[in-house]
Amino acid sequence: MRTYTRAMKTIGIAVCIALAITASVQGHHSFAAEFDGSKIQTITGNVVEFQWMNPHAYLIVDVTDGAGKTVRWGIQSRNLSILKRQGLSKQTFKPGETITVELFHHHDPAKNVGFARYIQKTDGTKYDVIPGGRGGIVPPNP
Amino acid sequence: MERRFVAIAATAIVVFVVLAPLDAQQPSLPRTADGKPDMNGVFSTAEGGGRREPISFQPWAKEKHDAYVARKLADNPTARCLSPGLISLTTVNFFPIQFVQTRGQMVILYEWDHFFRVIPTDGRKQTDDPDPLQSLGHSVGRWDGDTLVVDVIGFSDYTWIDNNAGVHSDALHVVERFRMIDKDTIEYRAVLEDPKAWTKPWNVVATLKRRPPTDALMEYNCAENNKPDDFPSDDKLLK
Repeated sequence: MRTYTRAMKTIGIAVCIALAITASVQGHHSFAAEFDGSKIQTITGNVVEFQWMNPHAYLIVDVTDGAGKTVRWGIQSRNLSILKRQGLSKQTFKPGETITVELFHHHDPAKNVGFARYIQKTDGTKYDVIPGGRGGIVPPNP
Repeated sequence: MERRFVAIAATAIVVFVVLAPLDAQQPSLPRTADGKPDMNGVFSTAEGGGRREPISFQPWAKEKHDAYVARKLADNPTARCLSPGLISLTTVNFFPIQFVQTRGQMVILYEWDHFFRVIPTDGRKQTDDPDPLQSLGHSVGRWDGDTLVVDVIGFSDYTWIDNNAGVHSDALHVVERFRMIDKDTIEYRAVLEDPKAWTKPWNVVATLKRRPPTDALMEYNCAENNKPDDFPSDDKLLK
């Protein structure tokens, strides 16, 4: 019985972790439906995870706000072929490193979710992840 | 009399200077064994989208277009990994395309979600029965001097022919002109007509530039890792 309970607990934890990971992987929607092309914001924080995958790469970043509270951001980026041509690879961002992201904010101001425009490392390397989409131009899908 | 002669002569010179180069074969272009401009290679637009005017919709199509815009384009077929349509695929700046040119055939490979077109240029006529309807239609090409002219009919009607809710019908007819200007540049012009959905033809002009030789097509796989829950469900889509 004890073994059974322990097994249930382990499965429960595993399911929770799986759900947490799944939740961080956002869907593939229309940019305009999800993000505000005129609301640009810059955040600086520590990389939790760099998800290098189709159809889009994602960055999970922890940002410490003015009150010292850690806020977790989910940042969508482009597809891998675009990022590769802009000089990125799966090794570009390591967990724990500090990055600054200029992003288009989600339509819902309460959500800490954005679509990356520029990503900068502490050594000054700056990646333009919307090539040809500068000047506040809303990038088309995808 | 003299003034009229001068006017006629001036007009003739202008016509000659402006129009003659359009027909002339440019000697500087790379050519294939059959003498056609050699378009083989990887290209993309620099600016993205090309130059275009707004589409003039018939009332029913305008109503549909406006409803999509009001919903912030959430119903965009590409958000469900469906076909972006002919014009977006060709003029997008961040997914290159590759021309594979053989005698009697032009193949265009699109990085965006593995799309491709096989365009016969062997003198055959356009089909009378474009069945089944396809998101990129049925293409038949011919060479007009140094310009590849492609006639396309038989489109399925769900694509957005531009990314901004470009509603169209299955009566869409596209004539594309690919003209090589120099070894690294192809001018793309398309004239689109849709007698069921639009009130006048829609024109697109874009410049395709050759990508660096190291820049091969890669894979963009929209469906990979996407779960059904990620897509707007059918009941939430605007019909």
